[in-house]
Amino acid sequence: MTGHVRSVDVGSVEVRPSRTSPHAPAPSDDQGAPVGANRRASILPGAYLDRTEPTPPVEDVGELVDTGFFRRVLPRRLRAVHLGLASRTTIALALGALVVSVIVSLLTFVVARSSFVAERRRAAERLAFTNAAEAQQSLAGRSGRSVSSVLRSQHRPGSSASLLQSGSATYRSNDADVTIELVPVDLRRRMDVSSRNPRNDTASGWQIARDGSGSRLVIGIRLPSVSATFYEISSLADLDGSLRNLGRALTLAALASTAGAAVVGRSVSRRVVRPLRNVAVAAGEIASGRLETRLELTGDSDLDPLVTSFNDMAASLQTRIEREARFASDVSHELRTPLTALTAAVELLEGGREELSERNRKIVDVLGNQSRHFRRLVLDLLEISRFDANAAELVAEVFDLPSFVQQLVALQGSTAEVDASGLHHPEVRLDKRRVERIVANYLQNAANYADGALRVELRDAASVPVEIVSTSTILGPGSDALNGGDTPEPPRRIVIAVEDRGPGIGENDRELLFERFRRGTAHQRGSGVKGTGLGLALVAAHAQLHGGRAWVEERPGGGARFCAELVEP
Amino acid sequence: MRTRLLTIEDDDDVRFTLRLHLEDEGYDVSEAANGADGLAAFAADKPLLVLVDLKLPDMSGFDICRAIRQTSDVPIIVVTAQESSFDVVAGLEAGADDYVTKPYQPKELAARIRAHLRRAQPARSSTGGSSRGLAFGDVEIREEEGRALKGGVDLKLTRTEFRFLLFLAQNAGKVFSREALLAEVWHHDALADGRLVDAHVRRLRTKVEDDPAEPTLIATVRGLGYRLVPPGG
Repeated sequence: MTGHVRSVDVGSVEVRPSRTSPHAPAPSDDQGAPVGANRRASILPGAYLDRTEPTPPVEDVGELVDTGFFRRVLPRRLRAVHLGLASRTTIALALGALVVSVIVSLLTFVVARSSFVAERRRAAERLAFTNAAEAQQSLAGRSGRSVSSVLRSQHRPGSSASLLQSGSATYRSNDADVTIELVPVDLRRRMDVSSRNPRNDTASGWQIARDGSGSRLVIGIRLPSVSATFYEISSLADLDGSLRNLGRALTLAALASTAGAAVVGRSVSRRVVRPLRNVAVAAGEIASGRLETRLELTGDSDLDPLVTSFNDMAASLQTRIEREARFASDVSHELRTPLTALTAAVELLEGGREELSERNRKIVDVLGNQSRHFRRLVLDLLEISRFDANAAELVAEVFDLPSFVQQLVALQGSTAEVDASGLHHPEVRLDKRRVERIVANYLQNAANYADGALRVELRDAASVPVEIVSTSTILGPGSDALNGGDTPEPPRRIVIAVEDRGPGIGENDRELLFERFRRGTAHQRGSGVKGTGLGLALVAAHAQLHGGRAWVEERPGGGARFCAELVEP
Repeated sequence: MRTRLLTIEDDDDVRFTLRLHLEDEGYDVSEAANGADGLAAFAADKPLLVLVDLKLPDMSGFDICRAIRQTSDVPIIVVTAQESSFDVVAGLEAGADDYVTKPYQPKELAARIRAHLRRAQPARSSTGGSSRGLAFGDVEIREEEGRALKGGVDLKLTRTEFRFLLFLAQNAGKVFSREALLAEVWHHDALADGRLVDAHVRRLRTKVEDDPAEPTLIATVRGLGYRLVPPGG
């Protein structure tokens, strides 16, 4: 095995510029460039395009940092993790450091190796020329010593050997395994003294050969006067060892700088992201109603503009919300006072209705109807504005629901039957005023559009609806929706249903009815004063405040059944 | 002699129409357009019931409630243009017996007034025949005198507070819901606000209990209502 050259260090093959004739460099094997280009191509987007959707994903438009690089480089599976800004910064820095340190290491390695080799070659060449001259003397018979003994006696480092080929005879500096096989075929051909190849007119050449036992430097010197070629073969095993150590050190350095960059990137990006977290926390506080929340100045000239503008925004938001709340409160007060005088005055007029002429009696009736309608409208608007301003509060108290509803039905002048047979027990804990509004609005609605209510049903909801269960699972443990972990009993859910005598509600109108100022088709026929158009929207809002909902369904046997589900807080 | 009421209200039209309504109901009505005049009229006319608007040009209705409570236990109804909890509760804490929200309907207001006056009367005109004092620890309730004492000292309860305490005492040990108390003590219908009861319980406790934070006499029964704890139970 030792004699067979398995591979040749391609990069080092070059013909040493000869002193006798300058020679164009051998055509270099430029296989490397395409290989590198291919490797680069594999990390370009093209490699992944076939795995992505036809259109580029646009879901991260709002991100602070362009994630295009990661989107292109990271496989989809990894991208699905949705790395945060800090992680992405860390990875970017680490990757950058890795690339830079790999390039630096490779350059260092290549430069170091070529300079090591060049130095060794120069030394070996000096030695080889001296030794070749001696051997030439001996071969020419001028030194009086045999070629072999000359070769053997020559000064050379232990790792070197020389070989002189003259025709068919081969002389070597030591007996052992130094054979012509150690000399690369290519060099042998170039140094062949018998060849008439014009390329072979150089005086000397060198080549690095590598096989299983390591690499060696072979220097060939043509001795045309004696028709022989002198080869000096020196082992580069020690150089290989040094280069291996250098490579190891450089690899370690690259890894260390990558890790260092990752650590630095982590801490820097954390520091950069921390103020953003504070902003997020403060924004959350403001959103949850603590309008006075502000960020503290950090003293950092890059961050303080953010802090300042955030605080400015929060301040103007607070001013605006407070102004609106004050306005709503003022409007409420300013509307209520004239309304009080108006309705009181109209009622006084109505009290003396009998004294009026027929004409004025009709006018007073219009005044009475319209002022009551106007009063209801203002009250409903104020009520709904409290919902809009998030100022609606639930005031729950325990009361007897069936008897309460019975009183409301009587108060409304309705003949509806109250059926509480589905109620587990009559005491409920709800906001009584809101229950009153719900029942009164449903009854009024039935009276306005459906010839009155037929039946009011009160019952406990059969079971907890599925969507509520899933909501509380999403919210997870610790959320209010779970009502504490130790009370497995779900909150009581009560359904109030008002059934009417009307023609029922078409499927399409059922949702719309609960929107503001939407009224059933019956309204368009009606000429007199009817609902405010806010009643059902308010019912829905009251029910939602109770954690429930309002809806309308078909009553078995025709007509509509307006329902509200309320959850005990 | 007709019953005299006092209305303190800054809006002329509201005051005017209110007076006409109340006169139609058979009351004599004194009027004041601001707090100072109102307190002067209260001292001069000695009305049996006061209606106070919470928002007055010179002082708040709360101040008027407190000023009247210094010297008198007459029923006070505050009139508020806000339905916010703060106004209602603060008015009741200041010593009011009841509240109505603008725009109130005159008939509804008249009914409230009637209820307050009706239950204010018996305590006055109670015949001394069945003078039977009720005592709970150091708290003594003298029904015929319309007053209660604690350790021999007059507690200076308002009429409503006294009625409330008397009702609980006459039914000691029994639990009453807010609804039931509103019906029995205020003669209000089902629509009335349970906060009236809560505010009065708080006020009574500060006067009756040794430590209002740890009530031993007027107990809250969670989820049900209130009861007066009889001795030894």
